[in-house]
Amino acid sequence: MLSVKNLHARVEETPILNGIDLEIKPGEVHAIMGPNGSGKSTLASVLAGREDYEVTEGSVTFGDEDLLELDVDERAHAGLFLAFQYPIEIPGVTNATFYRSSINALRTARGEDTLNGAQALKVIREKMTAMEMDPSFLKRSLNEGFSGGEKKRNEMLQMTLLEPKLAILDETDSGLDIDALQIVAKAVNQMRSPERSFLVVTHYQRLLDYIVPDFVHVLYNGRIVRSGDKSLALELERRGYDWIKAEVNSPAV
Amino acid sequence: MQAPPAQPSILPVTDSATDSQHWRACFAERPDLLQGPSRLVEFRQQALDRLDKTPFPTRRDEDWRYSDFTKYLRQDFLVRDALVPDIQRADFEIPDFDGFVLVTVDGAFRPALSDDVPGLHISTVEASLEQEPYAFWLDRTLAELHAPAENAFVALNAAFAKTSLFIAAERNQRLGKPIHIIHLATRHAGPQMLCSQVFVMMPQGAELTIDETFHTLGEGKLVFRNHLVRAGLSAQARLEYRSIQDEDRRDIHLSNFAADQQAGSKLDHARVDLGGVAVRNNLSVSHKAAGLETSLNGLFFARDRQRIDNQTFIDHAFPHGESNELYKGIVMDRGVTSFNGKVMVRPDAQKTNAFQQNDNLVIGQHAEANAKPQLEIFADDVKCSHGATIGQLDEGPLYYLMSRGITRGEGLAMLQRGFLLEVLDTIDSSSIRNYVERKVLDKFNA
Repeated sequence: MLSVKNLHARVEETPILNGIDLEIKPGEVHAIMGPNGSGKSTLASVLAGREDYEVTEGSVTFGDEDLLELDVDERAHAGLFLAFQYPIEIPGVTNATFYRSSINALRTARGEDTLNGAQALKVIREKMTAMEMDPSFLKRSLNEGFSGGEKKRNEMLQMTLLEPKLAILDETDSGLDIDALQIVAKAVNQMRSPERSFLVVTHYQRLLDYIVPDFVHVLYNGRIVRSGDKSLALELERRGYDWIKAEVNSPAV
Repeated sequence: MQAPPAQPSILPVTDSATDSQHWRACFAERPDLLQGPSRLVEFRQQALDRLDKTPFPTRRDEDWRYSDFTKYLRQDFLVRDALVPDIQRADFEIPDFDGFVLVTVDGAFRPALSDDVPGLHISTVEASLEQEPYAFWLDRTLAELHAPAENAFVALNAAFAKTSLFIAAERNQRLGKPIHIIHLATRHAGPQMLCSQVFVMMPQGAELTIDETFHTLGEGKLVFRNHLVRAGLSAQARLEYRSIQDEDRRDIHLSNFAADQQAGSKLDHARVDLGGVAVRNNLSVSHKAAGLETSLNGLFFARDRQRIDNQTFIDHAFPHGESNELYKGIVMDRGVTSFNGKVMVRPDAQKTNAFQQNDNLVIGQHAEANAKPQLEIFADDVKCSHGATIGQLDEGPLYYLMSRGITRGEGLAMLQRGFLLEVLDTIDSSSIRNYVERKVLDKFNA
């Protein structure tokens, strides 16, 4: 589904990604872990198409499309979804309007009929109930006055509404308590399917107790330095990141 | 009631409208203006005298730096007496509005077209000027129109306005439903200077909500609407006053709102400016006692070649006053807007909280927005802030919308509408909010 080859990216003059290779097949859940500054969020942002980052080398293929050639909205049309680490507030645009526009933008891109106000509302309310979100949120401006946990839940709600092929979660667990964490995990787990993949970017192993990954990769200095299965995450939890850094800096035999 | 209006003579084409002799000539053709209560006739003549001595403001006047109205005055303005064409009131009503409707035509209050409002005194200046308990307040308020600080447009208004609407509540009266004033203007063969007024007297503890809208009828030349509102809030009175203007694109809208507030009173004023080729609103609020609240909100949207200028002035003269201002505007194409927010906090006005925010969204290379916060603070134990932003939309929100599949074009539209609609949240009436939102959307799609 996603094929990242030798990806290099920088912000202004500072290189951040220094050759990322990653293959994600349909149905797989991959976790990206790493110390602060390793480039985890940059990878997520580059995949989503944020213009602040410049790709200097490498390629990314999503399905059969060259992802780097697609504009931000086109990537969403192709089935990509990024759950933001810091979801932005947009006063004056209500959650309801935003969800409906988004649902219909994707339906149009897929050649489907759009939903009218009432139909959209029905779908949205159903998913909100499943996410244990208060329906009064609909009238409020997008993310305005939301706590960190509520914003993350809003991201998950959007994910369930838009049904992406590949969902990238950018440190979705940061700042969440156990209850909120479980709701996020529930949303992800309910959407797991053979046709859908997840890329979970996280600093802490805790989330991976609830969203069990098929593969775990460790990012350090802009490169994937170690890959394994979920037991790698447990080892990081026990030993921290220093042993990885030590291994990388003094190559062992 | 009165004789049909005399056919006015055609005046020679000159820069005459800036010359008070032009207006004296117009006045001379209106014998009806010399009828009515003698005090009122005196006021009119005083106004004409002031007009002789008070030139119309130009760019050189600091307060009018951004609005040059003298060029709009270079026309043969006529001041007709009101005609009453066949009016379908429903054409101008607000959908789902649950309240009372009053109608003025060419500035004159028309009871026959208006609803009866139980318990409220709704009448004209002529009828109320010699009637207590209104006479004292009306007399003083009319006299204040001649204060030296008032500009020539106010003098013009005071000279020609007739049969103006006067609304007075009773002590502690709460109407419970809002009032919608429909101001209709008729077009004529020549450009028309329409002078209209609304007076609102709020005694102690009274509460009222008033919405006013402006419309033109018929075929003809442009209308220059010179509109004046005066409100007096006694102790604990609460007034919500909203002016929603979506005039035709060839018309001019100039308004002058002033209110004074006594102890514990609350004024919530909102302006929506969408129409007109040139718009200028002067808004002035004077605190006459301690512990008051004033809230001024404005939404404006200029495109093509429109000019919209707003000037507000809040005079904190006593302690414990609260004022909050939020004006947001979008300007695109070759539009020009300005906001000048003046706040005066006098030496005795300790514990004043005065907040002002003006945000302007400028779209395109040729649009222009001007922001001039002007705070003069002479007390030392106060909280005052002002903020003004002029710029374009942040990339962040647009990126977020696009990341959900919304196209750039649609995303920009959502953000632009959202920018303005934030002011609507301050309006406590869903029918009015929907009415304004509909008009804003139509203007975006035009």
